[in-house]
Amino acid sequence: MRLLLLLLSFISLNGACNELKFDGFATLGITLTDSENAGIRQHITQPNATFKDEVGFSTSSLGFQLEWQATPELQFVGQALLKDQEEQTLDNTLQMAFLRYSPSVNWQFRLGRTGLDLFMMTEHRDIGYTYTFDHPPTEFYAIVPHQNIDGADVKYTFSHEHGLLSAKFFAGRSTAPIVSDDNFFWDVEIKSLYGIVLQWESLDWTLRANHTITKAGNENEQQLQLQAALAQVPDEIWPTKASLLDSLNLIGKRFDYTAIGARYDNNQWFFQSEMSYIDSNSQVLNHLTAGYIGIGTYFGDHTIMATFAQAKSNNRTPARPLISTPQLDLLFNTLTRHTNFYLIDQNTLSFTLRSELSESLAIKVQLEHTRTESLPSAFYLHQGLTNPNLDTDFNTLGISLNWVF
Amino acid sequence: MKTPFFIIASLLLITSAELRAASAQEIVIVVNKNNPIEKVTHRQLIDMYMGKYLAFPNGHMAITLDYRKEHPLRSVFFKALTGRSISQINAYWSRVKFSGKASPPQAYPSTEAIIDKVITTPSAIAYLPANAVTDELKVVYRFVQ
Repeated sequence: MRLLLLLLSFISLNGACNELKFDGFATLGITLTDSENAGIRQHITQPNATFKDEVGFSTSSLGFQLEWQATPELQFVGQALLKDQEEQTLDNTLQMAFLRYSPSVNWQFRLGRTGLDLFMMTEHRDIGYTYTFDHPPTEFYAIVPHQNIDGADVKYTFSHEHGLLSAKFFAGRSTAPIVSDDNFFWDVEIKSLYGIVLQWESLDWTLRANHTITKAGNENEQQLQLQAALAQVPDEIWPTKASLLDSLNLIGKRFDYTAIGARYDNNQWFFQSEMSYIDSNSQVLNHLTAGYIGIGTYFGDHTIMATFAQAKSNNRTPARPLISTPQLDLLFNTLTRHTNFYLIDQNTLSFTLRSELSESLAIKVQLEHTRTESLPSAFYLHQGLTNPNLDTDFNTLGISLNWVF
Repeated sequence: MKTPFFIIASLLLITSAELRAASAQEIVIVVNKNNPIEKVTHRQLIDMYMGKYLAFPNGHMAITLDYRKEHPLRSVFFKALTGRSISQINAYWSRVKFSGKASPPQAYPSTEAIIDKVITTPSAIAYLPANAVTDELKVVYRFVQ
């Protein structure tokens, strides 16, 4: 960010093409559910969730964007986003702040804080007006907390007879929070983040593929305490101790994201689908496969859509120590909460109605049914987990007003 | 109670009359008369006005001009260009703009303002009612009615 401020200071304020634009967006969302144990939230970063007999407003957001065209080739874009977060700081409110340099039609360079082009909707997932879903599918979008990167990207676009082909390479680092039960909060830093996006698009079609590699840059205090406690247990009592200690040591662990996506929209029917594979050499999130497909149709100012989303990880519950004591049982239970954080196996079927109230205001209603094979889950906050019969089938109703101005 | 209803009904009639007038007009695409381009294709126009690829057929950068959101010609133009409603176009541009991928075209309040900008900007491209074209502009595309 310092580099960006330095670059900004070099831009002449007497440019011949100064133009300032100011835009904004807002979402007022309401969530209702019959879920007793899994508290509904749209994202792993959200500190608040909605349970049965509650009315949740934590899916609301408000944002502003400023664009300054300094010269025909050079532009500054800044975006602030207010939403449900554990900590409201200037740093996590600033969603984007970058310089765009476009020396020709084909080339574009950006430097600063940009959106993370990981999946099709990652960069605008908090701006409800921009998509038909009430919220991006939880199984696909809720798991990755990161939404922007501090770094640079370069994009080349090639026009040919049948459409546009583009290739983008980005590099940088990113920090974003993960929030879970019992006040668990971890500001996750990923460093050495490199990605490439290939995209082909025509008026009706968009096809894209992404591959991003990262390394974890930090670990949280609870993991350090667990490592210290586990290190004191003799190997003879807990034979798998060494591998468990390694799985808790996240610094430098590799997390790779591969995704493909397609969207077709002929102005009468549309579909959108993505599949992703997250691969890591950490036992905390070893492999996760996720995907969704949504199909919809337009009629007048209304859009209806059906979506099916699924996610499944291959995480396994670690082996218990060979003997049982109150201290070892407590350590094992605490440990499994960490290693099972990404133990995911669930799907959701949803139906959405979007109606345009004006040319810049839309209301969306989405009813969804979720079936999960695993609770607790990283997707949710929880209550009543000691109940032997956990509520693993639940329905959620989301209603939102979405506005751009 | 009759007066407010009458006013609202009158406003609705005026608005629908403007829309009918706008939709009945032939829309043409114009550039600066010194621009060497003689014509553009429908797909090139889509690429330019959807912020995908801002270039004339000869590869030179194009500056697209648009009307402000409330102007009635805007919805008629985008319907003719893409077949999509203005709400769909606004959602598309919100997605592109708030992702930081591209900026929408510069917006002007009137046909006169658009003509002035095209005359003074060699790389500008804009859309106008056909009956507003002057000698200082060059028509490079006509929408078939």
